[in-house]
Amino acid sequence: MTSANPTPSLANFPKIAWFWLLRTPLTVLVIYCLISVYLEENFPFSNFPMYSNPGAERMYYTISAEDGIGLPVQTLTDVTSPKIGKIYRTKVAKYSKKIGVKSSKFSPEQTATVGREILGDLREKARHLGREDQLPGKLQLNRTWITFKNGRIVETTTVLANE
Amino acid sequence: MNVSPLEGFFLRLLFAGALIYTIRITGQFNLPNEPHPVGLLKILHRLADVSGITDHSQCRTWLTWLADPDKFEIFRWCFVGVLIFYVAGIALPVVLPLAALMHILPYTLYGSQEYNYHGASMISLVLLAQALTVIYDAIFRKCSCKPPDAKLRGWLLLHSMVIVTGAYFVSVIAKVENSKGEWFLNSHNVALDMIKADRQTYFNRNTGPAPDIAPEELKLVQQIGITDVIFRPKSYPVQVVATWLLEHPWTSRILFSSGVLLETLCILAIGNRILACIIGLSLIAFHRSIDALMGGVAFPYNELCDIIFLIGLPFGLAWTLERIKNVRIRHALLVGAGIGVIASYWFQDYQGAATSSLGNYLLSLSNNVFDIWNNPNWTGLLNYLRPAFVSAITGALIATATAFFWRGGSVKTATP
Repeated sequence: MTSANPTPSLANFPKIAWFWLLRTPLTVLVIYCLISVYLEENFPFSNFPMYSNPGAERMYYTISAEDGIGLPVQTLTDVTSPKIGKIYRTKVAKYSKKIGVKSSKFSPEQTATVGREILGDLREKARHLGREDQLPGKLQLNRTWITFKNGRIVETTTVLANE
Repeated sequence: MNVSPLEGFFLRLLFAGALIYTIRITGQFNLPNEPHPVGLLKILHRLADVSGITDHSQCRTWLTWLADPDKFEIFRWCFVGVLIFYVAGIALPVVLPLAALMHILPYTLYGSQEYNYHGASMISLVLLAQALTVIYDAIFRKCSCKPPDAKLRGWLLLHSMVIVTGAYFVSVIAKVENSKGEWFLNSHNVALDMIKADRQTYFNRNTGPAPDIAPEELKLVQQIGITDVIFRPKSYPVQVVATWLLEHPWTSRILFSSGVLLETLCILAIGNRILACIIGLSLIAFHRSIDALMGGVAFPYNELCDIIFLIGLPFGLAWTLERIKNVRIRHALLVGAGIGVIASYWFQDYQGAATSSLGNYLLSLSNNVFDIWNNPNWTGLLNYLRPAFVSAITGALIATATAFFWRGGSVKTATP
């Protein structure tokens, strides 16, 4: 790092390039970007994928009793509503790998298997917090699609799994 | 970059405060296992599998002890101890890697729960980059336990800027990659995320219809197409704005893409204080507008990094103090303010302060200073901090006056 700046000339170009590469912060930037893109979500690295693929349909997940009315999931289990979607996607990817079926080809029963696992985990979290008695006897996992059709925002809810 | 010793000190002091602030609640997480190990935990679990120590069926955990409040309290004080050395600039080749590891561990556990977490990624990465910088410096230049010299101070700031701006740039790469290059054309659909975020915020803690919705508001809500999932006044403006944005896709594309343009151009801030300040302020505005549009999607830790490393609050503080040319008076002012902050412990009449130890009080002060930035109840926090501010100013004035009138020893004037 203490070597002198090479004299600018065509013959010295490789030396100059190497000298510059070792000193510019852009080298660190490129290395950092490559590692982050490669490692994706591995704390502390992240490729920060929020809002990276804005499709025409968005979805969110709720838990409810059989009546379908959403429960305050964070209050009851300490798991926030956005995290349910992330947990669902992680579990679907794992289950898909386990059974060798693409997640897009899942049958309703396969989807329900993943959903029931999530409901079980949420019950366990509530039990850990001493709030299990505040949960209804039978839980239901719902997915609501949000779309924009004919000038209106439309929300369509389907039941993914129930206990 | 030219970083004065005083700026270097303020950079470390403010960053250490931000680091302590980021781990203030991690010990309260309800994390009894590691179902989806990431980062360091992934490596540890794999090593354990390969070496036959354990397998996943036995549910061996490595970091769940960090979710035990009692153990975490000890861990937190150890972290504070390490950061005291960091702020003093002593033994950085040892202290910084240790601090980076200690900051990464609790969030690795948090991110290993089947949901990704990147709220503290930037701040952890800056610490990691600083650790790698001092290791590189120790290997290839000189290994020293003394406070960093001018060159190392410059490198530390420069590489922190690289990580802060690089994190935004990486998100641009993710947008191009995940949308297969169609992000701009589809960007108006981000308006649907506003609805999604609004619903998710609602279902976190509330449920059921809002009983006090006015009939005329309900009529308007129904007119613009809200379904019967949620009727509540807070959803109404989100619904109106999102609908308008979806009806005007080109306006939406330009609006949302301006943020991506900023994320792309922010790498121009590296190494340039003026551009860094402008870009830093723009990034704060960018975060705040997302927070307002999405109804609670805040990135306070990223904003703190922007303030410290791009906007240049430490530079501003150092520059102001360096106007005092007499080094003895300058040091007296800083020491007096520090003693004043400690002394405020005995003047604090806030409920609970009397029962907490001095250490916990100082930690609480530090966390509340950083919490002002993102807490809706910031006026309440100011009331809590007022005795410390008054005491610090009083201490600084007394110490400055003493130094001014004390003629003993030689008077040292800073070279410009």
